[in-house]
Amino acid sequence: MSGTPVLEVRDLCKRFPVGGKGPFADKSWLNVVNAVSFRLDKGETLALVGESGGGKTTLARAAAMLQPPTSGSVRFEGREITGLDNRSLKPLRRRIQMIFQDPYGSLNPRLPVGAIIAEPLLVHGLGDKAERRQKAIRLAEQVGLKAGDMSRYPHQFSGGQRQRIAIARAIALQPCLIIADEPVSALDVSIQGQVLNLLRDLRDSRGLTYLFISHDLAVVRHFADRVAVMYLGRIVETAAAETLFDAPRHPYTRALIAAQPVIGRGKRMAADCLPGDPPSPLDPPSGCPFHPRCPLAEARCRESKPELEGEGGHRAACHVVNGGGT
Amino acid sequence: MLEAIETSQDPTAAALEVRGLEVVFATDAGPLKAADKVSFAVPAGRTLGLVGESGCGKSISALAILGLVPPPGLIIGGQILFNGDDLASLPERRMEDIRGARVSMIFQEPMTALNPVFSIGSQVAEALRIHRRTSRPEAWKAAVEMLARVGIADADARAGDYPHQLSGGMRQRAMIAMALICRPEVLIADEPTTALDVTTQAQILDLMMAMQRDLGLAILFISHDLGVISEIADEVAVMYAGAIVERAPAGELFERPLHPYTQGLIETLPGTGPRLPRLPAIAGQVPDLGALPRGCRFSDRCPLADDECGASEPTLAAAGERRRVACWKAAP
Repeated sequence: MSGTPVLEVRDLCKRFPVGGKGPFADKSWLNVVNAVSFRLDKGETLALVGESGGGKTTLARAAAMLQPPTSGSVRFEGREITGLDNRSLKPLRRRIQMIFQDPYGSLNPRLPVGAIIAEPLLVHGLGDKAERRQKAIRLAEQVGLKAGDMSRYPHQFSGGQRQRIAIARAIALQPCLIIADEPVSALDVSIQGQVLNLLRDLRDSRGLTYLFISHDLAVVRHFADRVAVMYLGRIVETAAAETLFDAPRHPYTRALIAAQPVIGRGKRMAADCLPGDPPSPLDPPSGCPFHPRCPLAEARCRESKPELEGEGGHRAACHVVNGGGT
Repeated sequence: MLEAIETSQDPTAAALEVRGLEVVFATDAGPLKAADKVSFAVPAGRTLGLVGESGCGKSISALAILGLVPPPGLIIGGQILFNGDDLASLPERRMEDIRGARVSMIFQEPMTALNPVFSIGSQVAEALRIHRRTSRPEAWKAAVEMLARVGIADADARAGDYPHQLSGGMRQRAMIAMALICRPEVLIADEPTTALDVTTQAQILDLMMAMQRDLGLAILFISHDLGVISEIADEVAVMYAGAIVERAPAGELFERPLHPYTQGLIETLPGTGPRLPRLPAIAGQVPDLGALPRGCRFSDRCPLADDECGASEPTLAAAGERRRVACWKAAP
């Protein structure tokens, strides 16, 4: 925990107005991310996990200033970046790149692969045409594509190959932070492993830092150094990956791990699975947002919001497991 | 040994049996075999898991059972035995009496499978009105009961809701109610939990198992997710590039996979064991159905492949009492 973190987020909130068209209509607010703080050191991989609607993607996009946060602070390599205008952000965008889930939607179908990979270089005015071409070929080779693929179009590639193209594009500007939003979720099982191995190799060879979003706990357990579990816009537990999976504390984390299907455990028993659905973020429950589904909930959980507490980097937001008086 | 084969393969015990199914798509590039001599059986009260990657032919095989192969696809061979009939050659009129009533199906994305302009109650009731000619009020009443049974709280009121008013898990429950209201003997479930969050997935898997116990359903459960298959299936069939390459009781398959493809799939999944620096990966890509390698269809990616594998294609042969594998190299 020494040195300047690559990314430090403090009390980040992001809310969106909903309902009511026109300037005078009543609006309510959808609080997608609520007072989230974390830090990400160089070369580290932090995974955001949790179910859909938990705010993982919105948090990542706000931290990358793709959608500026409503409030809170984001420091990138020690420098506050909230409040910067697009022009001052442009040099930072070279340092933060994204990889998206859907390799079908994130590549321009009208551009050949060479142009897709070289586009970030063009946008940032790096090199002349021949240099960009050379660089694109080198990048393609690094991610396991062939130089001959450069003139082909995205539709001529499989999902796994397309994700390689997206990765080549993301590393073109030599970023230090990559935000990978469900990068292997859309891929077939036999391809998932290949792409995870590639991401890991690039991390080691280029010293990349990853903010890795996934709903797949097995992938996260394999890939991440640290994990933050999100529920309804908050981090409810964070710990080193092994600690989190070996000794989860928050009841939501425990339920997630228990619900994850495991190979070879045999046929499932009518399990005590988590009841209900996540509540609507438009009308979040009082107190601890997890209390309506929580098997441990007590009276105080309905009344006051638990803080993220704990020692040795393992922190959970739960009155019951954190103990203490009422 | 003989006895075991007879009991495990007794066709009268199977609620549904598919024998040598062949589905071909006529394309500009020539015919593509999406299902190549696919055979399996699902006994009443049991679950067969059909697992494979995208494009391996698992969904097409399921659609073929209900006579729903989209054009230009065509069933060109094999039998689909249900209750003494061969569904592959049944006229459409008679197929309509079976589809949705005695063999029904649920899909991955309930938002697109449900009609957005009708309430879920009326969609569940519709199946009953079509197949049983039940009166409107009676069908509605039965629909509400069914919705309650699949775990929709306050079903009386929620039956009037439209699909967009429900969460993904609730929509999948509504679809299950629709599929089961006519008390089918066979349920085909095509990736029914893939679009759901894990805690919702666990709820839906539990619901399907409870309904199976209550109704004695035979379930054909299609998924790409080996973890889900391992938790729900009694028997598993693994498909690769249009063909079943291995079939075995679930416990044996996951404990000791015989086909190199099955082994590769299981090994490449990040598991619960110690963390490895790299995942063992299956090399290469799933081949195009139009450009399968010669001989064994897995030979171009297989770590064990030799000349024999490139020369002729292995058939799905018995390997032990209850297992079958299509591989020249697999040691039984």
